Amino acid sequence: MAELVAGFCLPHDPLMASVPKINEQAKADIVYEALEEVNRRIKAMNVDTVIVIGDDHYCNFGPHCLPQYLIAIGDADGPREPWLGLDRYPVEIDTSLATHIMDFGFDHGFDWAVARSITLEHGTMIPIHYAVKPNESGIKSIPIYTAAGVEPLLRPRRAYELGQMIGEAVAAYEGAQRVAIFGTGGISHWVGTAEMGRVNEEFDRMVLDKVAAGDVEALIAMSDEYLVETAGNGSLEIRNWIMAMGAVGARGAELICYEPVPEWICGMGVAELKLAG
Amino acid sequence: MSVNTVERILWEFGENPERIGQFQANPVEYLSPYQLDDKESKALTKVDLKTLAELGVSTLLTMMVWPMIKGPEGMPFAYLEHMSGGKITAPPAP
Repeated sequence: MAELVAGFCLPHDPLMASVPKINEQAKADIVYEALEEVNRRIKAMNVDTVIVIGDDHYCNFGPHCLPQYLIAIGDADGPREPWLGLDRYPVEIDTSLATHIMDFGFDHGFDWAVARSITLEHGTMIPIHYAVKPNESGIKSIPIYTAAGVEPLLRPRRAYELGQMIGEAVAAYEGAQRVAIFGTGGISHWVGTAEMGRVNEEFDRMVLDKVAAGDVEALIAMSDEYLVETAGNGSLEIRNWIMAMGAVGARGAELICYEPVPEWICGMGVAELKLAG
Repeated sequence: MSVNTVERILWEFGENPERIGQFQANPVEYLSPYQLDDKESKALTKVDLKTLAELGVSTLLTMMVWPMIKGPEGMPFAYLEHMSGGKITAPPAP
């Protein structure tokens, strides 16, 4: 049977790709190294497939169609945005496991939107590029997009339940894959607003403390209004972390790095989740 | 008020950047098929993204279209100056 062997929370900041050189380069290098460490850890655990949870930033989805959550089950490439400065390349999807998770969801009350062919935007492509590194590792991906940036937003409780379902789906799969899951997004960040560039380090460390304690209920309890006011509209992405915590039944986490990086307009946290059981 | 339509217009700029040229060539004609009120039409025509954001337009979109219309060299600082009325919270560029 397939097994969920690891979970991580990490950023998907596009400026990591488009603005690799900043004034505070030491901070940037710590974040790059943390994502290298994630890559080393999943390789050491012989991971075959990474489920990468990100959110769409009004790139693939427009006002005409705004799915709550979408799973990519077929063909993929990325990144979609030329301004990232990365060459677009194919990303191999674990189609059999992705299709199983899709079907398992349909049978358990989760009506996925589905992409059979997609060009991934930075919400999943940045973690794939820097932490999965498919062209070097050979590890396959299963990209999932949530409504964590554009209204109507996925409810945090539903994100948690969706994560739990994904964990159950992996455990129920007949294949032998060893699977990791990434919940991605920045902590505090203000995207496109007049406050862009501000980072609330106190909030970020509080969130990381909750993750480290396995206190997912405290994260779910944070209202969207509180998040936007305290940590910016970008902090709504915390539901992606909640989802990963739900998938692995996280009982805590090991902090790999935290850096407030105003030039990347984001509080950047990387943590490995401690699995239940 | 038709924030949804404004968001559609901005999103379509990103989906098909050739639309930017059509818009810039004749904003009034470009916007004529869309159902917009005067305030929205004026803000779009003047690329007044600050006003659009205050009307409820997603700042993911305003941030996306600024460099497409004004040029990438203005990001992020000219954009932030526009959105904040001259107050920039980010550190200086490297």
